[in-house]
Amino acid sequence: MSTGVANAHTDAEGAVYDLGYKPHEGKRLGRPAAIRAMVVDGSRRALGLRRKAWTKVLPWSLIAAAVVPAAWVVALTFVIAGFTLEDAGPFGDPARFFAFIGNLAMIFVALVAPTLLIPDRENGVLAIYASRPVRAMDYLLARGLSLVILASLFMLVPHAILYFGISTLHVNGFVAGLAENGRKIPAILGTTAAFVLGYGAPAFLVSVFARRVAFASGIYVLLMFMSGALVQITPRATDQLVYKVLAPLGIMWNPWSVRDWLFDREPEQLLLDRVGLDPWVGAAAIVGIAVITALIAHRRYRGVF
Amino acid sequence: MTTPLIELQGLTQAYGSHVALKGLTGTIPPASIGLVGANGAGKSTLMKVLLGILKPTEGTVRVLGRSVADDTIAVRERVGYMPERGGLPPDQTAADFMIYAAQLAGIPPRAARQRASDVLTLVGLHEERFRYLGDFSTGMLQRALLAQSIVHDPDLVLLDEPLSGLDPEGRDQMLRLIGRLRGFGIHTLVSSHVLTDIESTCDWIVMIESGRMIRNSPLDALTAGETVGVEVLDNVDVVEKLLLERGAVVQRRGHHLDVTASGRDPYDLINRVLVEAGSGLSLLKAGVKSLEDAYFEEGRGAS
Repeated sequence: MSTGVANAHTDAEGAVYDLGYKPHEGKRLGRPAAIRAMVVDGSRRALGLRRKAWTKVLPWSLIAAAVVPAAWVVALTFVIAGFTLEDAGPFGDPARFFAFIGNLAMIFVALVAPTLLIPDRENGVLAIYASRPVRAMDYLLARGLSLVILASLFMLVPHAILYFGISTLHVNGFVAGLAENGRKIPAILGTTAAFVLGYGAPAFLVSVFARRVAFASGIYVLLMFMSGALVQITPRATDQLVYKVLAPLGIMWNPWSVRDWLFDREPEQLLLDRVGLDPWVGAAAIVGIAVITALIAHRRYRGVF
Repeated sequence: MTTPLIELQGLTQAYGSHVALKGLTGTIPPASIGLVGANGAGKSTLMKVLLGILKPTEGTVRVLGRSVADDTIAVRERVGYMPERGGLPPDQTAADFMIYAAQLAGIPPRAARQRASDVLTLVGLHEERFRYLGDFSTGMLQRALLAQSIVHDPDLVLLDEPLSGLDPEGRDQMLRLIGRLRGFGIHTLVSSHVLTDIESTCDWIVMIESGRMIRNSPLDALTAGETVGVEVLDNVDVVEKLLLERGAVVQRRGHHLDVTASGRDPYDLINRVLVEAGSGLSLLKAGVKSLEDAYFEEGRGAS
């Protein structure tokens, strides 16, 4: 032992050890693990995690814009004595809160979907994916899952903050508040799904073709507002076939119809109501557009993998 | 019996009316393979077929004993690929991308981190592992591309023009890295149109010309020439005359004769002539062609 220590001190020259190459002798986890890795990678990229600081600015600003008002309202319930649900405005009612968080989610999705798809294509990274044991379907599924997870969390976290905060205002106490407000959870989840799919699928579709993230975001928002403008040209209580056909294409309004349906609210005279179509048509249109998006995306990517 | 690395049977690949690969047939043993051909000869197309990215119009392909068409995913688990262009996300650090590239091939997260560190050390990028790939030089990007192609410990790695865009020092580094892979049990298929690079790293050669395979053989068999060089000590004129009388083709530079004896053993011929002329020799050297010479000869033969 002492000799070794002496050598370490007296040897003037260092030694370079080539550790060589160690083959991987452990397990290979296959496609499910690859899909999981792609979901995590997509989520990190969309949020700018493990990336340069400027890539975090937009997503985290939007997240702050979604969470901070909800947290602020909850804080007020503790600070201001006699604070009521009426004082909370749209934040006191989950259905009305979708008017706020839904529009914000549209901008969030406009940012996230192109970030998930376009850089891989434009930087030639798809060549790497294509050499790995994954198929086009796996890649698109993973990217789609990233979008769904992030958009869902974007909408549900503020809802969760409000759920717990508003429950404290219940006359019979917090636990009674949780139980009573808990009855609205299925409607909240269903409406969130409608917004995520209804807004996410068109953004995904635009991103499948666009070559620049900013361009894709712009086109998507323009598309959404153009579909939203359909409500301006659609007469109330019309029976004309052309309006009935066009109404489900008002992709901006379909999630709203689903919200009114699930929360059992009086319809707000949006597109489907104006032409006399039931709200389930809106849900069907959302699913249909999502399926068409998946088919087109797969057709576009299968030649690359 | 060793499983062939690659087996091609009547492989044809067409893009519409353009036929990129025309009926390629051949068996390639485990080796360091050089894929040689002019730009547009079909090298990159062949690589994409081997990875299962392109489905052959006709014929079958087996890689590492597995059918690429029927078992694409299993083949890709054991094959690495270094594309010619692009391929790396500029917004990720080298370490993060290597970990991700390993996980994409099914390597568990902890092992992926270890392998990412190992391969980055191997290609000389360990110090740069936390830099963003977008900030890398061309040489560093090429080494990172090589690292991602072996991070999942493949049995075969396909390198598409790995030296393109590199300066002489970068080429030298890359060639040494590619040369080391054989010692790790990783077979390589290197595509290049720079023949000296192939010559220094490969021991098996596949030549493609206008979509046809014109050569599939050990490199030695291609570059070994039929000409023998001999330094004659004296009576050079007599030796030359006797060789010409016996039908040999002789090129003379002073005491040096390059002797080509088509259809005969040149060593036996030289031996007999030297005895007859009462001469001796100071040097006898088997002729060796450069790959470039061989390529142009084969190319002319094919066309």
